Amino acid sequence: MKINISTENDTTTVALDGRLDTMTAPELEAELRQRIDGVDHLVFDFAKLEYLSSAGLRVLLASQKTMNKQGTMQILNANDTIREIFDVTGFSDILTID
Amino acid sequence: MPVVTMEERVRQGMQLLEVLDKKGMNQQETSEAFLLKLLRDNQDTEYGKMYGFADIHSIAEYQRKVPVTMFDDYAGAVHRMTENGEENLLTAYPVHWYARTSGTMGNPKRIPLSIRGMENAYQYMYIVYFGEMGKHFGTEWTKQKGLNLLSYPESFRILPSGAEYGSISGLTYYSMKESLPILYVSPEEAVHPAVGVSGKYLHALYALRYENLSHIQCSFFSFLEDFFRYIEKHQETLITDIAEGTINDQAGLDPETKARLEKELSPDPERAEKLRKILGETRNGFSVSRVWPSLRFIMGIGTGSFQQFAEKIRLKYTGSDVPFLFIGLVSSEGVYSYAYGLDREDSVLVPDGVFLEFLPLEAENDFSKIVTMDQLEMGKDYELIITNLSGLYRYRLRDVIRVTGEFQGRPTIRFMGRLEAAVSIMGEKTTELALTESVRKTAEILGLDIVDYSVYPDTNADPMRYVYFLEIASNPEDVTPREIHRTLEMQLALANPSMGEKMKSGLCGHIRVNFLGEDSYALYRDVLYYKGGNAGQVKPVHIIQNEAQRKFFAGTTRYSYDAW
Repeated sequence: MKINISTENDTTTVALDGRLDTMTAPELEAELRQRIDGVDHLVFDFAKLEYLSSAGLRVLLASQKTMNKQGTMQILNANDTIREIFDVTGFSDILTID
Repeated sequence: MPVVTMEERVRQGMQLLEVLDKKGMNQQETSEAFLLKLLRDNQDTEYGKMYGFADIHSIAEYQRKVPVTMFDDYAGAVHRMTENGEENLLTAYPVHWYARTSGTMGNPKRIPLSIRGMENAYQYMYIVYFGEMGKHFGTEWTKQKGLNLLSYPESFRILPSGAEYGSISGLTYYSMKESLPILYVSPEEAVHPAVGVSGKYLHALYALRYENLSHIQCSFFSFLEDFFRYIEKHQETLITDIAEGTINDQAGLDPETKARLEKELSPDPERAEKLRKILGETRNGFSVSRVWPSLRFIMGIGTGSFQQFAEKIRLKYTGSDVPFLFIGLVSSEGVYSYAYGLDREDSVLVPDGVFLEFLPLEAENDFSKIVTMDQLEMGKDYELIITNLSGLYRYRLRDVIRVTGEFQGRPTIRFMGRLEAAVSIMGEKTTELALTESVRKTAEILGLDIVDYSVYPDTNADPMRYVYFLEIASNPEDVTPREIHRTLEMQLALANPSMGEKMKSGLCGHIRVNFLGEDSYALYRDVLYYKGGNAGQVKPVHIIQNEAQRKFFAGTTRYSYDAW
């Protein structure tokens, strides 16, 4: 999985390309740990995300918990499969998905 | 609550055990005396007047005059107590706390807890076990600190009546708050974590730093198994923190708290090196007794549906080096039994924790068949009916116990599960214990490390069938999904022959096995915590209760297998 993090004004965008699963979730977790501090708006761009596992959902949940304290978090461009995962796992009620 | 040292708790516990032994010699008299005093004390309550408590002088009269109840029978009175602050409705004893039940089978309830009920529970739920440890290990171990995996993330609510409302672990936390620093290694930030703080990381860090850990307490053994697994997974970060005297950002602490706690932590490269060696020795599991050589015992709820987790801990982490003390049968409503020895799955009935009655399982709703402690039959299953110190009278607990033997003339029991905890599509009624057995035996036969399982009856399938969800942490390379499916179905048939016959005759279909992705159960717990649940109260979802649970696990399924 490729992780591309960019910051513009007060928004940090994390674009993921590939599969966010058990193998790749720790990498994203480590990246976010270094970059999330002080971020006001965190955006995940899932346009190129192909697969999302439980391990990946845990990273998103941890990020949402952090952002609840310091700003907002948004998910953009999730494909239908990933939207369905959000729906069935109840994450649609937890995350802001546009 | 005043600060009470562990040594003092042990002393109190040993005294309590002596008293219990004496009471046990006359358990029926003790039990009846407990009931009659309770009725005298509460004869002027609204409930007491309604059922004529003042004129009841024996157990038989009590059984004749007072009906068997469910929570709905109290809902109106509890509402008046919690919303309007009305007193003397159900109990004359002051009620300052309402326990939020875990809602295992339905919506959480507000269970009144009187001061007297709480004192009683404190004795039989905690103090008695330290007495048991004193009997086995003396008091030398009390000089060192233990690890208590208590975690109480939320705050309690103040109800309109002014009473407090929260989970029972919150009550434990507040009752022990002052004593925590002298008894246990973890800082308060681990026990009562703020939003975003990982109590688990802090518990792990402080426990690993402390080589002379004396004992471990947990609510459920499932929580402990998850904790050991967490240590394995995060060992690198934890060891680095120990070597450098730091706390990784993973703990989620705010900078001020982090700086304050780090100030008290000195770098310990020697301990870090030792841990690196021990934790790195095996790929799946580690030796708990090498990490903590002074560890004397582990205490928690590890029977019934938690038995599989206790077994896994033995297999992967403790071997036979560290004895377990399984806490007896307890719930928010009271304490019903206590463990009377190490590594025993049975427990002995407490004659005056609550007043106990027993409804034979086969009697269903024929309450004339209810018996008392002295009439129990060995090997028989009963539903517990309790009368407690907090205003519940002849209350159906829906917990099933089996009488397993006796200890010093007193009946010993084993928790068999919740009455509703069973799956049935054609009258076969497969209990949670039978399902657990099918999974446990499958794991044993095939050498699988199964994290957890869930089951629901798929009534849309034709023919109807059971669907299992399995999260497997590791399995031998040559074990195929087909083999897992076949073994599991065979073990289900053995655990419940009625289901076996129905599958064989085609009345029920073959099972489907959904293999879950890694961390599915951890994610499920995370979501519950996020939504305000309590780590100490999240129980295994072995039988799926609602569509939300079913959809959740369907959503985390990686692949399925449903054919021979």
